[in-house]
Amino acid sequence: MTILKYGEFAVQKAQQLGADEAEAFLTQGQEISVKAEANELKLATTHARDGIGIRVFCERALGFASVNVFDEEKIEEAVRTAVSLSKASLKDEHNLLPEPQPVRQVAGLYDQTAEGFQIGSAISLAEELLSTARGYDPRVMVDSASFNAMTERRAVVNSRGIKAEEKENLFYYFIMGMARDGDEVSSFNYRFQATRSAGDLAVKEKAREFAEGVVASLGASKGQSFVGTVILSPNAVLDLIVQPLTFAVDANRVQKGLSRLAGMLNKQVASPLLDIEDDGLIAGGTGSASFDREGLPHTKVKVIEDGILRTYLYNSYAAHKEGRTSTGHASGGARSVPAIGPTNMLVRPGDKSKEELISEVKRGILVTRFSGFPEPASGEFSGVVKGGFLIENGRLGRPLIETMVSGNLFEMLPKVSGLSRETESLGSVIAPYVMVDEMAITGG
Amino acid sequence: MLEFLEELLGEFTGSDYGELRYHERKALNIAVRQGELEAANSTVYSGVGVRALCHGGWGFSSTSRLDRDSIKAAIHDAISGARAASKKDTMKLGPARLARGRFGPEIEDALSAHPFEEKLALVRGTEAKVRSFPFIASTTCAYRESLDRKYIITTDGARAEVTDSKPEFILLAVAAADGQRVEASETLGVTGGWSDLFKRQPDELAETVARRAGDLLKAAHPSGERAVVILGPALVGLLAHEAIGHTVEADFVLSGAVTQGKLGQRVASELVTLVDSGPSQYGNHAGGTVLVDDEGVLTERTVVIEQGILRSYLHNRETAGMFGVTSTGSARAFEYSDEPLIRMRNTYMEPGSRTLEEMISEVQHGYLLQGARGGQADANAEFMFSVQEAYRIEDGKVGELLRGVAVSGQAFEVLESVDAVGKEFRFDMGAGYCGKGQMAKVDGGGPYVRCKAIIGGRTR
Repeated sequence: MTILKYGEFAVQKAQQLGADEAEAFLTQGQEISVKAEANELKLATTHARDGIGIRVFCERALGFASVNVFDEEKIEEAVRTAVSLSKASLKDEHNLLPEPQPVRQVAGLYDQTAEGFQIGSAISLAEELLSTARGYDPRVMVDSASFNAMTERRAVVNSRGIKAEEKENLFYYFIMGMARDGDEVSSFNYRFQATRSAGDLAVKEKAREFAEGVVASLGASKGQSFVGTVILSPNAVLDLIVQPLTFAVDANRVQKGLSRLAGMLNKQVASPLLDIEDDGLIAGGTGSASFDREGLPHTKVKVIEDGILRTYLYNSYAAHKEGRTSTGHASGGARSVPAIGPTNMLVRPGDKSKEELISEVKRGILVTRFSGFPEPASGEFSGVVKGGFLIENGRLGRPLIETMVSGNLFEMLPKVSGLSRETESLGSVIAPYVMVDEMAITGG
Repeated sequence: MLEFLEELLGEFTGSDYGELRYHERKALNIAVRQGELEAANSTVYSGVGVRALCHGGWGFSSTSRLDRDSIKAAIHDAISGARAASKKDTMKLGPARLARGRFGPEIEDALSAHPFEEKLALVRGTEAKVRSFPFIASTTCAYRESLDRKYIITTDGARAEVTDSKPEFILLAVAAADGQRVEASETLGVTGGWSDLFKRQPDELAETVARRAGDLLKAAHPSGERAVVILGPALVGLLAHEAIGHTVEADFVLSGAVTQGKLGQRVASELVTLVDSGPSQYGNHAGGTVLVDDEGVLTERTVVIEQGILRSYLHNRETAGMFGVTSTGSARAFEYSDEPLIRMRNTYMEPGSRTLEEMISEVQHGYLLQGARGGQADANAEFMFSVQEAYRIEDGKVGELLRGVAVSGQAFEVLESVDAVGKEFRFDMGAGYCGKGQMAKVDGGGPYVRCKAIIGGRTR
């Protein structure tokens, strides 16, 4: 059953009501989910979700409304709201909807097995997640875990002729908790996986990694303050490098003074070892789709090539401002106007093993997880090292607690001195271990 | 609607408990950045969330379609889910003060009485005011509101109609010079109407945020150390919420949090009394105010730590049953399609007797920390907060402003180190959200509090 007809209805209505341009983005999803809490299976849920978001321009002024039911009366009400907001809002010459472009279907976004996936299968997988983690060591405590299977249809229609729809599915799960030994409680840790294909699920492996991680961080003690080398796990790379960087290359933020990478195109912004691409066309990629939030095809772009900044990421609004085309990075759902976001981000691995990287460190730390809030505009960060280990004379030492690491992303990127060949897939990001020199570490 | 839902309660026959919750949320989001309108979004998100309990297993389902057949189908899905997750033992829900009747904040100046044009003009004007400062490189101003209507009905007797109104105002300024950038923000968030939100005037906020960004641009980074710190109300709220509050959520206690088995024990300095309250205290408009929780239970003022002694965890009906206590009314669901979880509401430390001036004058070497940018805490109560404004204190006097400051420590050690508690009180997290798989609107605050913590540094 197509959902496009509701979109076409909304666009037509908007034009009848006086909108110069109109766009409807629609989603229809089904999800089953099993949740565990405090080491026990707790809850099974099923959801059916519909959503339509209507963006209109009257004399190039923006109005947007959304509603979560496919009902012509409710949709018409939302269209009226969008049009009336638009008539009262601000004109902006860059408010133009995109023209259609050829969209090629990306393979592997829908696994047929998702269709017949039942709550019973989700329960078995969630139980396996729990029993593997708990069976690893009696000190392992699972605070929460869930297993989810989702299928979704998404569609875009606009008044310039864009019309696109596709079906996708996703299996995702996480396990989170700590180890407890008498009165001692370790740091939190978690593992997760997201995949389109049921065949790729690695529940036992992720549960074991989680359990190993929390048990290893027991017995942590306070460290000292020093300037040394830091090895970031793929998870810490995601939080400390990839996510802040996606903000810094968001063209809208660049244009509006919110990025230190403004004016840095084709300049060296990082160590030549660092190479990051964004590819929304990877077959089966969890960040892949045949078209973006505006109905334009995703693309594959090199963001940082051998340390040189090559491009920012655009939606059509930011692209119009520079008189160029969108890179197909319009992001978001039916409940808000299109933003800009990454698809699949790939950090190129290096040629050394994680152990070789550790063996090169005279004095430093291994950071499993970073707890902090890097400021996207400035790149400043200061946060707590989680699941941290001291490294001395090339050897991994004792686990650390109450240790902080501080710096600035844009000053840190040129100091990247090594990447591992092992990578980890973290949802739509694939990253290796990254070694950085001269980092300020504060011990408790 | 209540009558309509009540007729459907019969569909829960065979389950131990059933709950229907209609929730309609009308939201408006206006955002202006650098003079350009980035959002003029109106959203309606409504439907029915259904929860069933069968032999210790919970099932939840939701539907945005409001006809009888769709809701019946959702009830049957919830019951099948509950059966699939069921265990051998039957679970007994704990006692609760079930809500019956109409509940909502008293509002004199309704948000709906102020047209979109007025809200947009205010956002534009405030954004332009911040941008008019020459050192400001980027400004964002946003106004958001959430208007809720809920009908909650359960098989064991809750029957409540609940309304809510929660507006927010957010200002972000970035100052730049010589390739350096710094951020500053000011936020307002309340439960209430238009004039409740703007107790502080937007123009004054604009000036404050712009000047702070400008000052931070000239500020140096701190050196890292463990030191005496005086935390302002927003950071005390964050400490109460992140570092203590999460460890006393009963679901988390059962998972093995550090507070497990510690009721009645001393966990903090006797100067510390920490509360999580559904009703607003110290004024009527705290942003996390909840009068009836999403299990249809009347909320209460829960004293978590009383003069240093751990007194209570935060409970829903299930954990209240397990611990043999009454529900604290802490079960919250963000939207109709979310199941209720144990969440905080307004979390704060009670004020003491000292003035800020006295507290500063007694510090030889330390820091005055104000304004939060965000916080996280761990299972072992180790926390980190990003700080907006940090000043060095030397020889009893406030000195230099520092930038990029974050503070960390083990929450219970930090609370044990509290040696002075101020008498001024302020809620200062009203635009705050807490994430636990789903969002919850929360508030927090307190007086100024002096303790010891670690400051993360850039140099040694």
